Amino acid sequence: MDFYELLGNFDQIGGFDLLLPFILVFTLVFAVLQKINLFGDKKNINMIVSLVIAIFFLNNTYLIFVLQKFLPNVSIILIVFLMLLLLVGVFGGETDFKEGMLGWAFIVSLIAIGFALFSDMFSPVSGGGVSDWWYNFIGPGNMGMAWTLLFLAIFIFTITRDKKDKNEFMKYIGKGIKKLSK
Amino acid sequence: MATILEASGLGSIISMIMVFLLVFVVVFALLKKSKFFGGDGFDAIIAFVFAVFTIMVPETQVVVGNFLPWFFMFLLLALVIFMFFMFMGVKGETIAGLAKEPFMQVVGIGAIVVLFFISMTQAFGPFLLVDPNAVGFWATTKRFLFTREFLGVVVLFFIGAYSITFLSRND
Repeated sequence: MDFYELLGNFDQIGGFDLLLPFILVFTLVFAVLQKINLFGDKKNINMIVSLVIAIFFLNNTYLIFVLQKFLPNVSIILIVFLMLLLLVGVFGGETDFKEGMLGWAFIVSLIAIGFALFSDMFSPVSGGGVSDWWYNFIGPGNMGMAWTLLFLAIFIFTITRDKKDKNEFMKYIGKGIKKLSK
Repeated sequence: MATILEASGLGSIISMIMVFLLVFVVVFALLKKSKFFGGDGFDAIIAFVFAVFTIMVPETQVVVGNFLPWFFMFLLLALVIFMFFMFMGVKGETIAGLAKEPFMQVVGIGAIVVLFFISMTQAFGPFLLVDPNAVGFWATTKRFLFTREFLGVVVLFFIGAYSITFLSRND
């Protein structure tokens, strides 16, 4: 028996559809319940709550489908980020996230999560996803409005920005995140 | 594709047992933690009655069965977002501070309320739909709440409150 056959058998007995989602949901919910200590120091209660949530999750085939698409996307994006940080490390040595970079990290993380979640999620049947939606949304009828909004945003940004520091916006977000942690 | 509960042929039974277990365990644990009644026996009886009353209404199984998986997806999404932040260099303390921020809590609670309403709609149908001809307390309340005049005033108040805050704050 080779690995292809082994994985095929694992798939046929429901390993990818049932076993792995069950393990993931059970472990995550149990870990969070243990960490937040909602029901006191009671492992058995946390275990039962996690079990119930995991079984109800298995009963929702659409969410299992979403999970199976979402997690590989997250892994791929993490690998891309790792390569990016490796490249930065080659040229810049140790990375130190200042306020401006923290803001960029915030924006990039949100975009990455949005892409990972929505790239497959909303069109499981046709396989179109967000790119199709975007293509249809910015169709010929809306193109003029889209350009107008874009120019308006650039105009307002140009007029209202502080010229002393070009990176003020990202620093503002970074400062906000640092301030929230205090 | 049939779900695991449907395939086993015991879908409704297992679903009922799971809802019973969940309600019993959660109510029992909360009563025990709050020490409201003192003894374990009282807590167990009250939790049992709560759980039995819950499974006597079949719609609760639909609400719980729909709400819990989507709630987990929301939790997973939040966890992955935090993981990305940490991977991009944001420190764990920053994330912990962010999660305690009132704005984030409002977003979380708002998402949970929306999920709950969706689950309720799947169980009871469009219960928030306004029927212009219906009579009774809830129908009248819904007619009052979901009018464009009332909702417009609420939005106007929000805009006014934000404008006052925005104009009066110091840089």
